[in-house]
Amino acid sequence: MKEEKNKAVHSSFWANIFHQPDEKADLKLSLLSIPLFDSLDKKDLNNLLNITHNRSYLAGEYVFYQGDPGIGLYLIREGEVQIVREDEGGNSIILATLSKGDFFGELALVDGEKRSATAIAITDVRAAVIFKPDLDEFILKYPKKGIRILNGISQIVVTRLRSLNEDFFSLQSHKKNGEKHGT
Amino acid sequence: MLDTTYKKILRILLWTSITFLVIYIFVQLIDLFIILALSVLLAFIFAPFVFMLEQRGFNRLSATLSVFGVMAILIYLGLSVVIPKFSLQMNQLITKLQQFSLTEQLSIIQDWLTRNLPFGDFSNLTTKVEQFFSTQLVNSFESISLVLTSIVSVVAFLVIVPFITFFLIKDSKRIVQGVLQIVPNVYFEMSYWIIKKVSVKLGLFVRAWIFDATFVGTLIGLGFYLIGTPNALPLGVIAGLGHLIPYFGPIIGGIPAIIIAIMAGNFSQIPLIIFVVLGVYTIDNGFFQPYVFGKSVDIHPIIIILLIIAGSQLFGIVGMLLAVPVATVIKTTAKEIYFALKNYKIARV
Repeated sequence: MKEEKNKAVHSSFWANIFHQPDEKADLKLSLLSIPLFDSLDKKDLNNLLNITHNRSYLAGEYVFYQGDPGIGLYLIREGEVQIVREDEGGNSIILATLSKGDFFGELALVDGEKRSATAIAITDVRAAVIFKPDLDEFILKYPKKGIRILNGISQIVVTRLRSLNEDFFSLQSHKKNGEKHGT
Repeated sequence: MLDTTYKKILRILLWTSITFLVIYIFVQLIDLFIILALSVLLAFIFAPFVFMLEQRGFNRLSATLSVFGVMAILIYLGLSVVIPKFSLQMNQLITKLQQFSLTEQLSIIQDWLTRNLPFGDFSNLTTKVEQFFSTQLVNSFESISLVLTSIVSVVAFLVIVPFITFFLIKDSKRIVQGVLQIVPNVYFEMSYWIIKKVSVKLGLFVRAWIFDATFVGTLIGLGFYLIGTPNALPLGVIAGLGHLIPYFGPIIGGIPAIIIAIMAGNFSQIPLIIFVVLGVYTIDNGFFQPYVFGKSVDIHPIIIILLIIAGSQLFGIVGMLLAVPVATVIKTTAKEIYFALKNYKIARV
Protein backbone atom coordinates (compact mmCIF):
# COMPACT_ATOMS: atom_id res chain seq x y z
CA MET A 1 0.00 0.00 0.00
CA LYS A 2 2.80 2.34 0.99
CA GLU A 3 4.65 1.48 -2.17
CA GLU A 4 1.55 2.26 -4.18
CA LYS A 5 1.20 5.57 -2.41
CA ASN A 6 4.70 6.54 -3.45
CA LYS A 7 4.03 5.49 -7.02
CA ALA A 8 0.60 7.11 -7.44
CA VAL A 9 0.49 9.92 -9.96
CA HIS A 10 -2.01 12.69 -9.32
CA SER A 11 -2.98 15.58 -11.56
CA SER A 12 -2.45 18.97 -9.96
CA PHE A 13 -5.43 20.58 -8.27
CA TRP A 14 -5.67 23.12 -11.10
CA ALA A 15 -5.57 20.58 -13.97
CA ASN A 16 -9.33 20.36 -14.45
CA ILE A 17 -10.18 23.92 -13.42
CA PHE A 18 -8.20 25.67 -16.12
CA HIS A 19 -8.79 23.49 -19.11
CA GLN A 20 -10.77 25.17 -21.84
CA PRO A 21 -14.52 25.11 -21.18
CA ASP A 22 -14.38 22.51 -23.80
CA GLU A 23 -14.63 22.91 -27.47
CA LYS A 24 -18.26 21.85 -27.72
CA ALA A 25 -18.01 20.82 -31.33
CA ASP A 26 -15.12 18.47 -30.58
CA LEU A 27 -17.03 16.95 -27.67
CA LYS A 28 -20.11 16.52 -29.84
CA LEU A 29 -18.05 14.68 -32.44
CA SER A 30 -16.57 12.45 -29.75
CA LEU A 31 -20.04 11.54 -28.48
CA LEU A 32 -21.33 10.91 -31.99
CA SER A 33 -18.41 8.55 -32.61
CA ILE A 34 -19.78 6.20 -29.92
CA PRO A 35 -22.34 3.79 -31.41
CA LEU A 36 -24.45 4.37 -28.29
CA PHE A 37 -25.12 7.98 -29.17
CA ASP A 38 -24.81 8.14 -32.95
CA SER A 39 -28.62 8.14 -33.40
CA LEU A 40 -29.17 11.33 -31.38
CA ASP A 41 -30.21 14.57 -33.06
CA LYS A 42 -28.75 18.02 -32.33
CA LYS A 43 -31.17 18.87 -29.51
CA ASP A 44 -30.70 15.58 -27.69
CA LEU A 45 -26.97 15.80 -28.16
CA ASN A 46 -27.00 19.24 -26.51
CA ASN A 47 -28.96 17.76 -23.61
CA LEU A 48 -26.41 14.98 -23.38
CA LEU A 49 -23.59 17.54 -23.29
CA ASN A 50 -25.18 18.99 -20.15
CA ILE A 51 -24.52 15.74 -18.33
CA THR A 52 -21.04 15.14 -19.78
CA HIS A 53 -18.00 15.97 -17.64
CA ASN A 54 -14.53 16.74 -18.99
CA ARG A 55 -11.48 15.32 -17.23
CA SER A 56 -7.73 15.44 -17.81
CA TYR A 57 -5.35 12.75 -16.58
CA LEU A 58 -1.55 12.64 -16.47
CA ALA A 59 0.43 9.70 -17.88
CA GLY A 60 0.52 7.04 -15.15
CA GLU A 61 -2.53 8.40 -13.30
CA TYR A 62 -5.26 5.94 -12.27
CA VAL A 63 -8.71 6.67 -13.69
CA PHE A 64 -10.36 4.12 -11.40
CA TYR A 65 -9.42 1.00 -9.46
CA GLN A 66 -10.73 -2.53 -9.76
CA GLY A 67 -13.34 -2.98 -6.98
CA ASP A 68 -14.34 0.72 -6.80
CA PRO A 69 -18.09 1.40 -7.13
CA GLY A 70 -18.75 1.93 -10.84
CA ILE A 71 -21.10 4.68 -11.95
CA GLY A 72 -19.39 6.32 -14.95
CA LEU A 73 -18.74 5.66 -18.63
CA TYR A 74 -15.44 7.13 -19.91
CA LEU A 75 -14.89 8.19 -23.50
CA ILE A 76 -11.29 8.83 -24.57
CA ARG A 77 -10.95 12.09 -26.49
CA GLU A 78 -7.17 12.12 -26.51
CA GLY A 79 -4.42 9.77 -25.29
CA GLU A 80 -4.28 6.10 -24.32
CA VAL A 81 -5.71 4.13 -21.41
CA GLN A 82 -4.78 0.64 -20.29
CA ILE A 83 -7.36 -1.69 -18.75
CA VAL A 84 -5.71 -4.00 -16.27
CA ARG A 85 -7.20 -6.81 -14.20
CA GLU A 86 -5.56 -8.15 -11.09
CA ASP A 87 -6.09 -11.78 -10.02
CA GLU A 88 -6.34 -12.98 -6.42
CA GLY A 89 -2.59 -13.58 -6.32
CA GLY A 90 -1.97 -9.93 -7.17
CA ASN A 91 -0.78 -10.62 -10.76
CA SER A 92 -1.85 -7.98 -13.26
CA ILE A 93 -3.08 -8.93 -16.72
CA ILE A 94 -3.51 -6.27 -19.39
CA LEU A 95 -6.95 -6.72 -20.92
CA ALA A 96 -6.84 -3.90 -23.46
CA THR A 97 -5.13 -0.70 -24.51
CA LEU A 98 -7.65 1.89 -25.62
CA SER A 99 -7.14 5.09 -27.59
CA LYS A 100 -9.03 8.10 -28.98
CA GLY A 101 -12.70 7.32 -29.68
CA ASP A 102 -12.73 4.19 -27.50
CA PHE A 103 -14.76 4.00 -24.36
CA PHE A 104 -14.61 2.00 -21.15
CA GLY A 105 -16.58 1.52 -17.95
CA GLU A 106 -19.76 0.85 -19.94
CA LEU A 107 -20.69 -2.07 -17.68
CA ALA A 108 -21.34 0.53 -14.97
CA LEU A 109 -24.15 1.92 -17.12
CA VAL A 110 -25.94 -1.41 -16.94
CA ASP A 111 -25.54 -2.78 -13.44
CA GLY A 112 -23.76 -0.07 -11.41
CA GLU A 113 -21.71 -2.86 -9.82
CA LYS A 114 -18.07 -2.63 -8.74
CA ARG A 115 -15.38 -2.04 -11.37
CA SER A 116 -14.18 -5.32 -12.84
CA ALA A 117 -10.78 -3.91 -13.82
CA THR A 118 -8.45 -0.96 -13.24
CA ALA A 119 -8.03 1.85 -15.79
CA ILE A 120 -4.68 3.66 -16.01
CA ALA A 121 -3.76 6.54 -18.31
CA ILE A 122 -0.56 5.55 -20.12
CA THR A 123 -0.18 8.91 -21.85
CA ASP A 124 -1.74 12.27 -20.94
CA VAL A 125 -5.46 11.69 -21.43
CA ARG A 126 -8.52 13.85 -21.96
CA ALA A 127 -11.78 12.05 -21.35
CA ALA A 128 -15.52 12.73 -21.35
CA VAL A 129 -17.47 11.11 -18.54
CA ILE A 130 -21.20 10.28 -18.30
CA PHE A 131 -22.65 8.97 -15.04
CA LYS A 132 -25.31 6.26 -14.76
CA PRO A 133 -27.85 8.29 -12.69
CA ASP A 134 -27.68 11.16 -15.23
CA LEU A 135 -28.05 8.77 -18.16
CA ASP A 136 -30.98 7.03 -16.43
CA GLU A 137 -32.64 10.45 -16.02
CA PHE A 138 -31.95 11.26 -19.66
CA ILE A 139 -33.57 7.97 -20.74
CA LEU A 140 -36.62 8.69 -18.55
CA LYS A 141 -36.98 12.17 -20.03
CA TYR A 142 -36.56 11.11 -23.64
CA PRO A 143 -37.84 7.51 -23.74
CA LYS A 144 -37.62 7.15 -27.55
CA LYS A 145 -33.94 8.09 -27.59
CA GLY A 146 -33.54 6.12 -24.39
CA ILE A 147 -34.64 2.91 -26.06
CA ARG A 148 -31.99 3.44 -28.75
CA ILE A 149 -29.31 4.06 -26.15
CA LEU A 150 -30.33 0.99 -24.14
CA ASN A 151 -30.38 -0.98 -27.38
CA GLY A 152 -26.85 0.26 -28.11
CA ILE A 153 -25.68 -0.79 -24.65
CA SER A 154 -27.15 -4.28 -25.09
CA GLN A 155 -25.47 -4.53 -28.54
CA ILE A 156 -22.10 -3.82 -26.96
CA VAL A 157 -22.70 -6.28 -24.14
CA VAL A 158 -23.84 -8.94 -26.64
CA THR A 159 -20.78 -8.38 -28.88
CA ARG A 160 -18.46 -8.69 -25.91
CA LEU A 161 -20.31 -11.75 -24.63
CA ARG A 162 -20.00 -13.46 -28.04
CA SER A 163 -16.28 -12.72 -28.18
CA LEU A 164 -15.97 -14.02 -24.61
CA ASN A 165 -17.80 -17.22 -25.64
CA GLU A 166 -15.36 -17.65 -28.54
CA ASP A 167 -12.39 -17.13 -26.21
CA PHE A 168 -13.83 -19.57 -23.70
CA PHE A 169 -14.51 -22.13 -26.42
CA SER A 170 -11.00 -21.94 -27.87
CA LEU A 171 -9.52 -22.10 -24.36
CA GLN A 172 -11.53 -25.25 -23.60
CA SER A 173 -10.48 -26.79 -26.95
CA HIS A 174 -6.82 -26.06 -26.22
CA LYS A 175 -7.22 -27.57 -22.79
CA LYS A 176 -8.87 -30.72 -24.19
CA ASN A 177 -6.25 -31.09 -26.94
CA GLY A 178 -3.52 -30.60 -24.34
CA GLU A 179 -5.07 -33.30 -22.13
CA LYS A 180 -5.31 -35.70 -25.16
CA HIS A 181 -1.69 -35.12 -26.10
CA GLY A 182 -0.68 -35.50 -22.48
CA THR A 183 -2.28 -38.97 -22.13
CA MET B 1 10.25 10.52 10.73
CA LEU B 2 10.34 13.94 12.44
CA ASP B 3 9.63 15.53 9.12
CA THR B 4 6.45 13.41 8.68
CA THR B 5 5.22 14.26 12.20
CA TYR B 6 5.88 17.95 11.56
CA LYS B 7 3.95 17.72 8.28
CA LYS B 8 1.07 15.93 10.02
CA ILE B 9 0.84 18.59 12.74
CA LEU B 10 0.99 21.31 10.11
CA ARG B 11 -1.81 19.65 8.16
CA ILE B 12 -4.01 19.31 11.28
CA LEU B 13 -3.38 22.98 12.13
CA LEU B 14 -4.20 23.99 8.58
CA TRP B 15 -7.48 22.05 8.53
CA THR B 16 -8.47 23.34 11.99
CA SER B 17 -7.91 26.94 10.92
CA ILE B 18 -9.79 26.38 7.65
CA THR B 19 -12.73 24.89 9.64
CA PHE B 20 -12.79 27.87 12.01
CA LEU B 21 -12.54 30.29 9.11
CA VAL B 22 -15.48 28.57 7.35
CA ILE B 23 -17.57 28.70 10.58
CA TYR B 24 -16.67 32.38 11.06
CA ILE B 25 -17.62 33.25 7.48
CA PHE B 26 -20.84 31.22 7.87
CA VAL B 27 -21.83 33.14 11.02
CA GLN B 28 -20.97 36.48 9.41
CA LEU B 29 -22.95 35.72 6.26
CA ILE B 30 -25.84 33.93 7.94
CA ASP B 31 -28.49 35.94 6.01
CA LEU B 32 -26.95 34.83 2.76
CA PHE B 33 -27.04 31.20 3.84
CA ILE B 34 -30.68 31.48 4.95
CA ILE B 35 -31.58 32.93 1.54
CA LEU B 36 -29.61 30.16 -0.19
CA ALA B 37 -31.19 27.45 1.98
CA LEU B 38 -34.71 28.71 1.24
CA SER B 39 -33.94 28.91 -2.49
CA VAL B 40 -32.57 25.37 -2.50
CA LEU B 41 -35.69 24.12 -0.66
CA LEU B 42 -37.97 25.84 -3.20
CA ALA B 43 -35.90 24.46 -6.08
CA PHE B 44 -36.36 20.94 -4.70
CA ILE B 45 -40.12 21.48 -4.47
CA PHE B 46 -40.42 22.68 -8.09
CA ALA B 47 -37.89 20.25 -9.62
CA PRO B 48 -40.32 17.33 -10.24
CA PHE B 49 -42.74 19.61 -12.14
CA VAL B 50 -39.91 20.85 -14.37
CA PHE B 51 -38.86 17.23 -14.96
CA MET B 52 -42.44 16.29 -15.92
CA LEU B 53 -42.63 19.13 -18.45
CA GLU B 54 -39.26 18.12 -19.91
CA GLN B 55 -40.65 14.63 -20.42
CA ARG B 56 -43.42 16.23 -22.48
CA GLY B 57 -40.96 17.86 -24.84
CA PHE B 58 -40.29 21.24 -23.16
CA ASN B 59 -36.71 22.40 -22.96
CA ARG B 60 -35.24 23.27 -19.57
CA LEU B 61 -35.77 27.03 -19.87
CA SER B 62 -39.37 26.85 -21.05
CA ALA B 63 -40.19 24.16 -18.46
CA THR B 64 -38.76 26.33 -15.65
CA LEU B 65 -40.54 29.43 -16.95
CA SER B 66 -43.83 27.52 -17.20
CA VAL B 67 -43.58 26.27 -13.60
CA PHE B 68 -42.83 29.82 -12.41
CA GLY B 69 -45.74 31.11 -14.51
CA VAL B 70 -48.16 28.60 -12.98
CA MET B 71 -46.88 29.50 -9.50
CA ALA B 72 -47.44 33.20 -10.24
CA ILE B 73 -51.01 32.48 -11.38
CA LEU B 74 -51.66 30.37 -8.28
CA ILE B 75 -50.29 33.10 -6.01
CA TYR B 76 -52.40 35.70 -7.83
CA LEU B 77 -55.54 33.54 -7.48
CA GLY B 78 -54.65 32.88 -3.85
CA LEU B 79 -54.28 36.59 -3.21
CA SER B 80 -57.46 37.59 -5.03
CA VAL B 81 -59.85 34.76 -4.11
CA VAL B 82 -58.71 32.94 -0.99
CA ILE B 83 -56.78 35.70 0.78
CA PRO B 84 -59.74 38.16 1.20
CA LYS B 85 -61.78 35.37 2.76
CA PHE B 86 -58.78 34.24 4.74
CA SER B 87 -57.96 37.73 5.98
CA LEU B 88 -61.59 38.36 6.92
CA GLN B 89 -61.64 35.18 9.00
CA MET B 90 -58.16 35.95 10.32
CA ASN B 91 -59.33 39.43 11.42
CA GLN B 92 -62.30 37.87 13.17
CA LEU B 93 -59.93 35.42 14.80
CA ILE B 94 -57.57 38.18 15.95
CA THR B 95 -60.48 40.29 17.29
CA LYS B 96 -61.77 37.29 19.19
CA LEU B 97 -58.33 36.54 20.56
CA GLN B 98 -57.94 40.16 21.63
CA GLN B 99 -61.24 39.97 23.51
CA PHE B 100 -59.86 36.98 25.34
CA SER B 101 -58.65 38.36 28.64
CA LEU B 102 -55.91 36.18 29.99
CA THR B 103 -56.00 38.03 33.33
CA GLU B 104 -59.71 37.42 33.74
CA GLN B 105 -59.45 33.71 32.95
CA LEU B 106 -56.41 33.36 35.17
CA SER B 107 -58.10 35.03 38.13
CA ILE B 108 -61.07 32.65 37.73
CA ILE B 109 -58.64 29.69 37.80
CA GLN B 110 -56.77 31.27 40.73
CA ASP B 111 -59.99 31.71 42.73
CA TRP B 112 -61.04 28.14 41.99
CA LEU B 113 -57.63 26.80 43.06
CA THR B 114 -57.59 28.86 46.27
CA ARG B 115 -61.08 27.66 47.18
CA ASN B 116 -60.49 24.00 46.42
CA LEU B 117 -56.85 23.60 47.39
CA PRO B 118 -56.49 25.67 50.57
CA PHE B 119 -53.02 24.34 51.42
CA GLY B 120 -51.42 25.88 48.32
CA ASP B 121 -50.38 29.48 47.78
CA PHE B 122 -51.82 30.68 44.46
CA SER B 123 -51.92 34.39 45.17
CA ASN B 124 -49.22 35.24 42.64
CA LEU B 125 -50.35 32.80 39.94
CA THR B 126 -51.97 35.43 37.68
CA THR B 127 -48.98 37.77 37.78
CA LYS B 128 -46.48 34.96 37.25
CA VAL B 129 -48.29 33.41 34.28
CA GLU B 130 -48.92 36.83 32.76
CA GLN B 131 -45.27 37.73 33.14
CA PHE B 132 -44.25 34.43 31.53
CA PHE B 133 -46.55 34.93 28.55
CA SER B 134 -45.66 38.57 28.01
CA THR B 135 -41.92 37.89 28.04
CA GLN B 136 -42.32 34.88 25.75
CA LEU B 137 -44.54 36.80 23.35
CA VAL B 138 -42.23 39.83 23.34
CA ASN B 139 -39.26 37.51 22.75
CA SER B 140 -40.87 35.70 19.85
CA PHE B 141 -42.08 38.93 18.24
CA GLU B 142 -38.62 40.39 18.68
CA SER B 143 -37.06 37.35 17.04
CA ILE B 144 -39.50 37.56 14.11
CA SER B 145 -38.79 41.24 13.56
CA LEU B 146 -35.05 40.58 13.91
CA VAL B 147 -35.24 37.95 11.17
CA LEU B 148 -37.31 40.17 8.91
CA THR B 149 -35.15 43.26 9.31
CA SER B 150 -31.84 41.44 9.20
CA ILE B 151 -32.48 39.88 5.80
CA VAL B 152 -31.68 42.95 3.74
CA SER B 153 -35.36 43.80 3.42
CA VAL B 154 -38.51 41.79 2.91
CA VAL B 155 -38.95 43.04 -0.66
CA ALA B 156 -35.35 42.24 -1.58
CA PHE B 157 -35.82 38.84 0.03
CA LEU B 158 -38.98 38.19 -1.95
CA VAL B 159 -37.14 39.06 -5.16
CA ILE B 160 -33.80 37.40 -4.42
CA VAL B 161 -35.18 33.99 -3.36
CA PRO B 162 -37.29 33.39 -6.52
CA PHE B 163 -34.41 34.73 -8.65
CA ILE B 164 -31.89 32.27 -7.17
CA THR B 165 -34.48 29.46 -7.24
CA PHE B 166 -35.07 30.06 -10.95
CA PHE B 167 -31.40 29.68 -11.81
CA LEU B 168 -30.91 26.77 -9.43
CA ILE B 169 -33.60 24.88 -11.36
CA LYS B 170 -32.64 26.01 -14.86
CA ASP B 171 -28.91 25.43 -14.48
CA SER B 172 -28.84 22.56 -11.98
CA LYS B 173 -26.81 20.33 -14.31
CA ARG B 174 -24.37 23.11 -15.12
CA ILE B 175 -23.94 23.93 -11.42
CA VAL B 176 -23.07 20.28 -10.67
CA GLN B 177 -20.70 20.26 -13.68
CA GLY B 178 -19.03 23.43 -12.35
CA VAL B 179 -18.62 22.02 -8.86
CA LEU B 180 -17.19 18.73 -10.16
CA GLN B 181 -14.83 20.61 -12.45
CA ILE B 182 -12.83 21.91 -9.48
CA VAL B 183 -12.66 18.49 -7.80
CA PRO B 184 -9.31 16.63 -8.16
CA ASN B 185 -9.41 13.40 -10.22
CA VAL B 186 -9.07 11.10 -7.20
CA TYR B 187 -12.27 12.46 -5.66
CA PHE B 188 -14.17 12.95 -8.93
CA GLU B 189 -16.51 9.92 -9.02
CA MET B 190 -16.83 9.98 -5.25
CA SER B 191 -17.89 13.65 -5.20
CA TYR B 192 -20.48 13.05 -7.89
CA TRP B 193 -21.82 10.12 -5.87
CA ILE B 194 -22.11 12.25 -2.70
CA ILE B 195 -23.79 15.21 -4.48
CA LYS B 196 -26.26 12.89 -6.19
CA LYS B 197 -27.18 10.96 -3.05
CA VAL B 198 -27.57 14.10 -0.90
CA SER B 199 -29.70 15.89 -3.50
CA VAL B 200 -31.95 12.85 -4.01
CA LYS B 201 -32.47 12.40 -0.25
CA LEU B 202 -33.02 16.12 0.40
CA GLY B 203 -35.45 16.33 -2.52
CA LEU B 204 -37.47 13.41 -1.17
CA PHE B 205 -37.50 14.93 2.29
CA VAL B 206 -38.50 18.45 1.24
CA ARG B 207 -41.35 17.23 -0.96
CA ALA B 208 -42.61 14.87 1.76
CA TRP B 209 -42.36 17.70 4.30
CA ILE B 210 -44.48 20.14 2.27
CA PHE B 211 -46.93 17.43 1.22
CA ASP B 212 -47.37 16.31 4.83
CA ALA B 213 -47.98 19.87 6.09
CA THR B 214 -50.58 20.42 3.34
CA PHE B 215 -52.27 17.13 4.26
CA VAL B 216 -52.47 18.01 7.97
CA GLY B 217 -53.61 21.60 7.27
CA THR B 218 -56.35 20.44 4.90
CA LEU B 219 -57.63 17.68 7.20
CA ILE B 220 -57.66 19.91 10.29
CA GLY B 221 -59.38 22.74 8.39
CA LEU B 222 -61.95 20.27 7.03
CA GLY B 223 -62.42 18.65 10.46
CA PHE B 224 -62.98 22.02 12.15
CA TYR B 225 -65.42 23.02 9.40
CA LEU B 226 -67.39 19.79 9.86
CA ILE B 227 -67.68 20.16 13.65
CA GLY B 228 -68.75 23.76 13.15
CA THR B 229 -65.73 25.62 14.55
CA PRO B 230 -65.81 29.21 13.31
CA ASN B 231 -62.83 30.40 11.21
CA ALA B 232 -61.93 26.89 10.07
CA LEU B 233 -59.94 28.15 7.04
CA PRO B 234 -57.29 30.22 8.90
CA LEU B 235 -57.13 27.59 11.64
CA GLY B 236 -56.36 24.92 9.01
CA VAL B 237 -53.68 27.14 7.46
CA ILE B 238 -52.15 27.81 10.90
CA ALA B 239 -52.13 24.07 11.67
CA GLY B 240 -50.51 23.30 8.30
CA LEU B 241 -47.83 25.95 8.77
CA GLY B 242 -47.30 24.81 12.34
CA HIS B 243 -46.79 21.28 11.12
CA LEU B 244 -43.72 22.41 9.15
CA ILE B 245 -42.02 22.35 12.57
CA PRO B 246 -42.11 18.65 13.57
CA TYR B 247 -44.06 17.82 16.76
CA PHE B 248 -45.24 21.43 17.20
CA GLY B 249 -48.20 21.06 14.85
CA PRO B 250 -50.81 19.78 17.35
CA ILE B 251 -50.08 22.65 19.77
CA ILE B 252 -50.02 25.35 17.09
CA GLY B 253 -53.10 23.91 15.38
CA GLY B 254 -55.24 23.04 18.40
CA ILE B 255 -54.72 25.86 20.91
CA PRO B 256 -56.23 28.76 18.86
CA ALA B 257 -59.33 26.61 18.14
CA ILE B 258 -59.76 25.78 21.84
CA ILE B 259 -59.36 29.47 22.81
CA ILE B 260 -62.07 30.42 20.29
CA ALA B 261 -64.40 27.76 21.73
CA ILE B 262 -63.76 28.99 25.30
CA MET B 263 -64.45 32.59 24.28
CA ALA B 264 -67.66 31.65 22.56
CA GLY B 265 -68.64 29.82 25.74
CA ASN B 266 -68.99 26.74 23.58
CA PHE B 267 -67.29 24.33 25.98
CA SER B 268 -68.98 21.30 24.41
CA GLN B 269 -66.86 21.84 21.32
CA ILE B 270 -63.54 21.44 23.13
CA PRO B 271 -63.64 17.61 23.20
CA LEU B 272 -64.58 17.63 19.49
CA ILE B 273 -61.63 19.93 18.67
CA ILE B 274 -59.28 17.70 20.66
CA PHE B 275 -60.78 14.67 18.88
CA VAL B 276 -60.21 16.24 15.43
CA VAL B 277 -56.63 17.28 16.25
CA LEU B 278 -55.73 13.94 17.81
CA GLY B 279 -57.48 12.02 15.00
CA VAL B 280 -55.63 13.92 12.28
CA TYR B 281 -52.27 13.49 13.99
CA THR B 282 -52.90 9.78 14.56
CA ILE B 283 -53.72 9.30 10.87
CA ASP B 284 -50.72 11.44 9.94
CA ASN B 285 -48.20 9.79 12.26
CA GLY B 286 -49.50 6.26 11.87
CA PHE B 287 -50.24 6.02 8.16
CA PHE B 288 -49.37 9.08 6.15
CA GLN B 289 -45.91 10.05 7.47
CA PRO B 290 -44.33 6.59 7.23
CA TYR B 291 -45.64 6.39 3.66
CA VAL B 292 -44.46 9.78 2.38
CA PHE B 293 -41.25 10.13 4.38
CA GLY B 294 -40.14 6.49 4.11
CA LYS B 295 -36.55 6.46 5.25
CA SER B 296 -35.75 9.97 4.07
CA VAL B 297 -35.29 11.29 7.63
CA ASP B 298 -33.97 8.62 9.87
CA ILE B 299 -33.36 10.89 12.85
CA HIS B 300 -34.54 10.00 16.37
CA PRO B 301 -37.43 12.16 17.70
CA ILE B 302 -35.33 13.29 20.71
CA ILE B 303 -32.62 14.57 18.37
CA ILE B 304 -35.28 16.33 16.25
CA ILE B 305 -36.72 18.12 19.32
CA LEU B 306 -33.21 19.17 20.46
CA LEU B 307 -32.39 20.41 16.95
CA ILE B 308 -35.58 22.48 16.81
CA ILE B 309 -34.83 24.05 20.21
CA ALA B 310 -31.25 24.79 19.13
CA GLY B 311 -32.52 26.23 15.84
CA SER B 312 -35.02 28.45 17.62
CA GLN B 313 -32.40 29.74 20.08
CA LEU B 314 -29.90 30.51 17.33
CA PHE B 315 -32.06 31.84 14.49
CA GLY B 316 -35.65 32.06 15.80
CA ILE B 317 -38.50 30.79 13.65
CA VAL B 318 -36.35 30.36 10.52
CA GLY B 319 -34.00 28.24 12.63
CA MET B 320 -36.89 26.06 13.80
CA LEU B 321 -38.02 25.56 10.20
CA LEU B 322 -34.58 24.82 8.78
CA ALA B 323 -33.28 22.67 11.68
CA VAL B 324 -34.46 19.30 10.36
CA PRO B 325 -33.67 19.84 6.64
CA VAL B 326 -30.17 21.08 7.54
CA ALA B 327 -29.66 18.10 9.86
CA THR B 328 -30.83 15.80 7.05
CA VAL B 329 -28.23 17.30 4.70
CA ILE B 330 -25.43 17.01 7.27
CA LYS B 331 -26.35 13.43 8.21
CA THR B 332 -26.67 12.21 4.60
CA THR B 333 -23.44 13.97 3.56
CA ALA B 334 -21.48 12.46 6.47
CA LYS B 335 -22.90 8.99 5.75
CA GLU B 336 -22.11 9.18 2.03
CA ILE B 337 -18.59 10.57 2.60
CA TYR B 338 -17.93 7.67 4.97
CA PHE B 339 -19.30 5.17 2.43
CA ALA B 340 -17.27 6.71 -0.40
CA LEU B 341 -13.99 6.85 1.53
CA LYS B 342 -14.49 3.24 2.60
CA ASN B 343 -15.30 1.94 -0.90
CA TYR B 344 -13.30 4.10 -3.33
CA LYS B 345 -9.76 2.77 -3.29
CA ILE B 346 -8.69 5.60 -5.60
CA ALA B 347 -9.50 8.20 -2.92
CA ARG B 348 -7.29 6.42 -0.40
CA VAL B 349 -4.19 5.85 -2.54
